[in-house]
Amino acid sequence: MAPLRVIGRRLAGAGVLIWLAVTFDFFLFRLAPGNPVDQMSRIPQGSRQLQDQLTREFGLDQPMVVQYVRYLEQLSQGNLGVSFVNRQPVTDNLIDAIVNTLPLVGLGLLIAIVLGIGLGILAGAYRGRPIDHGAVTLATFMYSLPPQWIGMVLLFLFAGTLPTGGMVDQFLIDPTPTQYLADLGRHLLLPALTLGLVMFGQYTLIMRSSMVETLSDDYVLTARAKGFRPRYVLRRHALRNALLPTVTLIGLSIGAMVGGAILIEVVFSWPGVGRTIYDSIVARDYPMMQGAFLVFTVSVVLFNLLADAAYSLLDPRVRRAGAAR
Amino acid sequence: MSEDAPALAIDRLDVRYGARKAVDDVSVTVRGGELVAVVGESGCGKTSTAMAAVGLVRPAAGSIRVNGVDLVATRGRRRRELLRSIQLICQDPYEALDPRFTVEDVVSEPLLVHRVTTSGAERRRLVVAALERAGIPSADSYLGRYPHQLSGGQLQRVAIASAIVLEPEVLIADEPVSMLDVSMRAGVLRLFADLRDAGIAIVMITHDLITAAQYADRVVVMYAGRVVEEGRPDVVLSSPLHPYTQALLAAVPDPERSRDTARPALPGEPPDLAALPPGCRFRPRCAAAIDACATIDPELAPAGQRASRDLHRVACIRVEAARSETASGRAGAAPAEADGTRPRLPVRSTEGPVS
Amino acid sequence: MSNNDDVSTEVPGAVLSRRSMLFRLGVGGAVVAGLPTLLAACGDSGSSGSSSSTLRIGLTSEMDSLNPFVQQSAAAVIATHMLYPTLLRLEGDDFTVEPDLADDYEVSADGTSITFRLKTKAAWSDGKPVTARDAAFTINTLVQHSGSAAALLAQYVVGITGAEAPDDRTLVVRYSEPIANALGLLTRVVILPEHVWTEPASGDGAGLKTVAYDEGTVCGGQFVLTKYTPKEIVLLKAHADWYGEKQSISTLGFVTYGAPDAMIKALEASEIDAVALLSPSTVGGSLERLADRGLRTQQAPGFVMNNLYFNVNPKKTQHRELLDPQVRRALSMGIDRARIVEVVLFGMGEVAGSLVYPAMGAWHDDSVVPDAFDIAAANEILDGLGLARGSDGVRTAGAEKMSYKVNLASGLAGGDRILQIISDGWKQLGVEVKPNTLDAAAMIDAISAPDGKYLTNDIAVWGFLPASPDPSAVLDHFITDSIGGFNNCHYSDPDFDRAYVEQNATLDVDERRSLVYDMQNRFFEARAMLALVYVNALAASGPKLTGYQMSGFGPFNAVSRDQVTQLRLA
Repeated sequence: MAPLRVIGRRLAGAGVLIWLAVTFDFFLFRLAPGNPVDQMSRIPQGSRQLQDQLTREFGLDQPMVVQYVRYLEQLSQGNLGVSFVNRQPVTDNLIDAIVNTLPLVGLGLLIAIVLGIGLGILAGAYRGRPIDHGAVTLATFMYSLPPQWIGMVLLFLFAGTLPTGGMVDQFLIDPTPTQYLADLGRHLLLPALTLGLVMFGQYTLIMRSSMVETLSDDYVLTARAKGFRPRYVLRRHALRNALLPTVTLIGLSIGAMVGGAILIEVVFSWPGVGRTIYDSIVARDYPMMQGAFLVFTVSVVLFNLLADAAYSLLDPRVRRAGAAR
Repeated sequence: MSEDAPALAIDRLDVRYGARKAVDDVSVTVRGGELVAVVGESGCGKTSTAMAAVGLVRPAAGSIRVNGVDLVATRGRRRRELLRSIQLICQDPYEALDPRFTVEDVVSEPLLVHRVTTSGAERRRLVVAALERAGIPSADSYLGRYPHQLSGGQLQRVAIASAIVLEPEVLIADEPVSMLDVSMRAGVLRLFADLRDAGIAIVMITHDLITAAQYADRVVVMYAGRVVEEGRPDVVLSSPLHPYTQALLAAVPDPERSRDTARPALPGEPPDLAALPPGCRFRPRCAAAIDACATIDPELAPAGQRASRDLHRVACIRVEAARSETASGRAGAAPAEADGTRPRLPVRSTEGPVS
Repeated sequence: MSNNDDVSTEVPGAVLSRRSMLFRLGVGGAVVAGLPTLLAACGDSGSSGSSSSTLRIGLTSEMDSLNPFVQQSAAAVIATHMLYPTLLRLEGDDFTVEPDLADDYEVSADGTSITFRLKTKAAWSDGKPVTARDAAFTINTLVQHSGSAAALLAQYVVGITGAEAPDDRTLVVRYSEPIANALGLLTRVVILPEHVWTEPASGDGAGLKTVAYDEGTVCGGQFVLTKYTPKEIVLLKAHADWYGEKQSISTLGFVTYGAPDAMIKALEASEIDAVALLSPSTVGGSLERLADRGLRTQQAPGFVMNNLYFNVNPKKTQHRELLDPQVRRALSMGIDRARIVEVVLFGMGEVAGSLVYPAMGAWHDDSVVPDAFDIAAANEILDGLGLARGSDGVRTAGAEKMSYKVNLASGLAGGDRILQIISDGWKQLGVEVKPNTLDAAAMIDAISAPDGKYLTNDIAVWGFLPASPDPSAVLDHFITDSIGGFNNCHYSDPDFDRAYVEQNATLDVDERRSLVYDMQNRFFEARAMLALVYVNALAASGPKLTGYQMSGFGPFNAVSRDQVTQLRLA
């Protein structure tokens, strides 16, 4: 067994991938239309002088390659730079955003997994029956709806009952931990539900097709032929094997969710990574954009690795094959 | 369960998938210690018959009696108990075992589910015994292995072990060796013969007439959802009566004949099971068909005056006609010339199970 | 008033444009009616919710920074203004200059120095007195670093050579030349505590931009800071040692929303007490519903203007027919402005002609009348210029079809509908419109492309919101020096530039007015920019909020104190 070598190789691959993404982002942002200086200097009486001043301040007067090398140097020291917009360290801005996004993504994912996998199992187990058609139609429909639309509908339905925006009630003064958590929970409900509703459709579809496939596998037929109860066969054989592709999909989607809840965060005024990405793009705040996309890239790569790891824990074939190399 | 009831009695079985009549009025009886081979092309209904026999497919009509108890009419716990007695061996051993289960998991699972014993040691003893009986020596060392670590032949033996661990009366084996390397086949087939000798009733689905001839006590030939001929393998192979059986035998490659003189394969395609032709369903492909074949749907009828056990039966009006003409009942009075050459090579097919 | 800016986003809600954010303020009023039960349950642990003096205002823009040297968002400018003293403020419908930290002031006869007498009882939140030295330090810092760290604020100290404090109560500000709007500009300068800012202001002043804001920050305005999270809230509480009139609001929270619709819902659900400025095109259709919910909406002639900009750079490379003012006049006559007001603004606005708004009062010249929608007359002009129609009905000029890519700012509220109406009209003139929607940063690039040379852009549709009610705030957009900045037309007229400088230094109001009239007529006749509509300011508030004063900049801005002191919560 040499899993350490395998892990090492995986990590090295992930590192290269992240470097490529960082490089691509760096140049893409600078080559895209619009720049931070023109926008920030668009005030009366200030134009030329202010533009030059900001350009120097942001280091944008240097050739792009020099900027890139400096950026990499900074990055290698764990320094993500300073936001053009609020002049605070990118790391500080990002940590707040990440901490805020995690509960949203966590609960949203939980809802999506429970709903998606549950419905997928039902649909697969009752293939061809009304419950199957219903589940597939619902999943496809929800999956095709724009996230902000689902968010708006929920917001309109629950406004007055649940908070319409923000993470906590800012006017609660010195709440106890319990009060704080209860308040956070109430604020979390609608955006997390939206995220869950946006995400569950694809889980349902994948889980269903995986179930259908597994249910027609010979070992499931054999088990049924042995006189095992259908529910036992479903749980012990079909379900566990059918979960494998879904685990991979979930791993892939968590990474994307960390940055991808942009529209939901905008609708529900959630101060997370999505809003940060949105605002930094609008302002062409390169250091924030680079930082936010780095977080996004790292989370996608990381959750991919985790999905791989989970997969090999769940599937003995992969586990052994990995160890044998 | 009456003492003298056959282990498995399939009677007038119909299986339908929508408009398709996959199995149409099929009756097969298998007694303890008997190995019956069911032969036919893919789509002939042999796998559907097997699926119905183990309760995976619900018949449209007919009965499936295991030791005299009708599986079709039984529900719930009694049905699950009944299913203990009749076990299925799948075609593809690579797919037949849950990839996440070790050998021990696979073989002990039926014991756990049917609560055969509560003792872990006893369970392990039964598992090892079943594995050894299935031809896996030093079974202990295999208990912790996963399916992907075993060869095809070993997998099939593990599958058989997990079937026989419950001491069933009937085994239904669906093309049990077709996915195995040729070198593995004889061993697994001998295992079935041994199990048969130990008193188990075995139905072996195959498209390979030669295998059937070597190991079976009786051969049942199916075509388009019907049994068209049935009898002892030596009789059926040496003197096939039904034109379809004759064509099947003719299709077996014969090393004694050169390739270019090999007989042409059976012309045409099997009929659409959703729109069967009137009369004999083999007629469109039959070289010996007469006008009456287009109107009369022949029944399976005795081809001679033998003891019932060895009865050679066929469903063809030309045979009936010949029989009534000669009134001798000789098997040789076939509508077409019988091919007395006995094929020697097994036919290998990659066709999958009919589902 | 907020700083000057393109209304690059929809007025009430949007995010992008610097300083136009003013408009996105939602004032929020009431108290606890709908405040979650949790709040009520807070009991002993101290809920502010049960106090009737907590005002919750909804915004749709982020409070990017409270640091005056950094902040770009207008909402943040307003919040910062509440944290510091200013020498003067502007109050009332006509934006009259009134004393604030300064009790009175005296302008020298030649207009090159102003002497202020300051209040004695003003104090910073750390207890130290606010003195004339703080004011002099602030102004001198702004002047000294106007080309670098203080560049964002340089516009407010234009013409100032320095300030001095002969004693704690006396401040003298000196100018190189008279500035007509000198007092108005000084209302925008927040006075900073010298003892806190000396260190950051030292050297090249780079430290000024890195000063961070938290609950310990030393303030001296109506409010002090109690909580600041950029994407969530700015929470202020009344400053105990405030030198001005006491307000009844003891806690003021600016709550940030990501989407205007969500903010309106929050108002309906009493999560906030008011929303200060809404875009008529965004909420025009739901006014009745808001009224049904017991919410009050108010409007006033506003300072948002939506415009169409021609690139009139004589060096432009294509579609040079657009350099002909006659062609531009014909195109102006092909725009159904009344329909834009009716359809896009739901009637909440006016057709526009002059660069100087009617909301600027006497500075607006009524004789500048918007071009009437007249297809026949417009076609006659174009026919007369020999711009013949091709077989597809589209005119050609030289070798080129009169088919124009029009750059449209994605943040302009109702922009797509405005462009549709323009396109419908121009189609009847044989002129084709190809819309190209861009966000603010890309818009700036496209207008000045390539590389700030203004060669390839033909037409852009955008809007703006001036920084102040003074006409200089809009006239300066189109001086030659503003090319590269707000001058989206590359308009350059030496006479206009001279008149701008002259009116800026003319202290006599009547004399200055005649210069301003000349400038707006000259600019209108050039038709480099076609003013389309003036958009009304629109605000909404819950039933518990009273004393809410509407102005062209909305019920909240960065120069008035009365707007806050007169607010009452039932």
